[in-house]
Amino acid sequence: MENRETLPSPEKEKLTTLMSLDGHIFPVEEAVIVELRAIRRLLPAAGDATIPISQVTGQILAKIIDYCRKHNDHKLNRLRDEEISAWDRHFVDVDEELLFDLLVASHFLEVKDLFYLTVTTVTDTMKTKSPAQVGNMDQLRNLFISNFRLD
Amino acid sequence: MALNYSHRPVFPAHTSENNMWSPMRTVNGWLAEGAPEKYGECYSRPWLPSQEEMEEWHFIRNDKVDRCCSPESNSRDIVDRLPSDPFGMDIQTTFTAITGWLEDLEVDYGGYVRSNSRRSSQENYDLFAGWNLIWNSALKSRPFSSSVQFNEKLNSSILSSSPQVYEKPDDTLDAISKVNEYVEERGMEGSLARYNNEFPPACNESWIMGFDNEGTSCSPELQFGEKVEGAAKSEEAPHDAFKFCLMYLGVKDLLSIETVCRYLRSEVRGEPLLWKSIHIDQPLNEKITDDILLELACRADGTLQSLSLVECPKITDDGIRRVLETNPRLTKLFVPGCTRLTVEGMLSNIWTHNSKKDVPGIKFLRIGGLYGVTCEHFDVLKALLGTDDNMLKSHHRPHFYHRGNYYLPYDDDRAIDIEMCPRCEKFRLVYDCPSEGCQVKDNVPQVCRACTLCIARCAQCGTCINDNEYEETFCLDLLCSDCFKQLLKYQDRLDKKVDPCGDHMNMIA
Repeated sequence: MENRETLPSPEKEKLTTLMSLDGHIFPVEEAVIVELRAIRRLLPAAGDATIPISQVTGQILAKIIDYCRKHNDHKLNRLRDEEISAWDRHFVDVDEELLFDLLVASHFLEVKDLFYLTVTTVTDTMKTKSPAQVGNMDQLRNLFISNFRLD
Repeated sequence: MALNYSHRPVFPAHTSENNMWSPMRTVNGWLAEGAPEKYGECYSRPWLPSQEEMEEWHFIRNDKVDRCCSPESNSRDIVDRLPSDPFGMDIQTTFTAITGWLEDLEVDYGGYVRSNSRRSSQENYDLFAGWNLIWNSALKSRPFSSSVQFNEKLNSSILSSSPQVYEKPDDTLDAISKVNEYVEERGMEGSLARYNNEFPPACNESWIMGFDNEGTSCSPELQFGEKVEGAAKSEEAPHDAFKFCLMYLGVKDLLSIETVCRYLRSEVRGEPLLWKSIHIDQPLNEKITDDILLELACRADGTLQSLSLVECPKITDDGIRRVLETNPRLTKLFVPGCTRLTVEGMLSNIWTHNSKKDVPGIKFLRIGGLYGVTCEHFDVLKALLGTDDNMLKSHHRPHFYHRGNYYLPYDDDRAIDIEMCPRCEKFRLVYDCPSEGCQVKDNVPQVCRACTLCIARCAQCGTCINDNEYEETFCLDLLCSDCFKQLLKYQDRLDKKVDPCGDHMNMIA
């Protein structure tokens, strides 16, 4: 899944290219890079080259870039607080596997707001579940079926 | 099983001189002298022989067998001396009876050996060992963890020829799992949520596991990987997200997550960063004991920095002392409302702790709710905490009295929470007044600042109730007239919701 945004004056704004684990290319503007603090540190060294992000797949990276753009808009006062909260709630209303991946990726890329958002979402659901249900949260590697049961 | 076999009654109903001769015998894992003194000392097994038996024996605690309780706290504690099952309603009593019967046989056997009588001792031993084998298998088929523990001790006492060094089952962790049984599905509790938000995540160092090398998503696994028990290949481990979430969970939720699977259990127990700051609030406060506290404090591997125990009635001075001994880096000790603690005990603990070398010492103390603090105690505490009157009086956030806010919030930066009440001059928690008429004007110190005994306050909003109208609720809280009117309105609304057809019925009638 690729994400290209048409900018009014592309030659004025420098685009950095990110490449995900599965080879998708994402040209992103500087405002988004600022949010991805881990990448921001690499910018001086990277120059014009494509930055490979080998831990994050294309789907997740696209979502994270989406998030950064939306919050950048919010910072520039184009969005109201209620709108951004509603958008955030909708953003994390996904299945658990995707939520976990977002959590880990946002930690890796050091997107603090998204990290806290995903962590609070996951811990909120954990707190309302019994231990058995928490075990079932990880669908792909069903904790209760695996060897890691407590018996 | 031939319960009727023994000529000796299982529960001797009276003290008798026959017992004078009884040698040391092991009963229920305790070394017991057969002296017919009135039962004085204590024990705290969940199951017990009958009370008559207890009154007959004088117990000497065997430290090796049981590390559960300290003698001093037990001897002082009436609660621990009460029998847990006085009416024998439990099935465990039957087992106890049978086990007691076996012990009596053991006494007889022991008596024979000690009196150097060699007659038929070997026969008796074989017979007894046989019964013991049958009895132990019967016990094993039952899912009682306590009786299984006793089983091992009985084994070790009866076959006392070789000292059996058995792996003591994890008593305190069983206790923790009992605490856990209380933790069921529930929504987020308000107070815990508040603390979760106010607490910095226990691990700011999580960001260090960051971007410095390409393999960072592997590094959490590398860090935690060694601690996984059993066959832990990284591709079989649960999602990494769980590990990050652990940093943001409170004690109650961590204990719950511990029971999900072995991997998460080893994560929770093996990561000291999760336990650097421990906060115990409702509902765990009622259940936490000294031993559980020590177990939790030890999980930090000596890095515990902040310990907060709100209204924990089972925590004693000795428990705090043990925690301080094993955690030299503790700087915040919050024990408001822990009624079993004494001021003298707290002073001596802090003195000992702060006098150690290379120890930062306790800098923040909360003992609101402890009684009997005198001026001398307060001066010593101020000296120990390294603070003085000027620092204490400097501007702090006002503290208002209302339900759920009796004690200072976690992030308040005062060194000590109690102060001298301007009216009664006793050292207690002093509250400010939120009412408009009592606000600070032109640097005049607030008049309306005192402890709750001197100035009664509304339990809802914290305003002073002096000559104003007030109501006393069923829970003996005071409410000012405004809050009471609001309460009435709310109740009316609830009543209307419950009975929406009230008007309709009236119309029909």
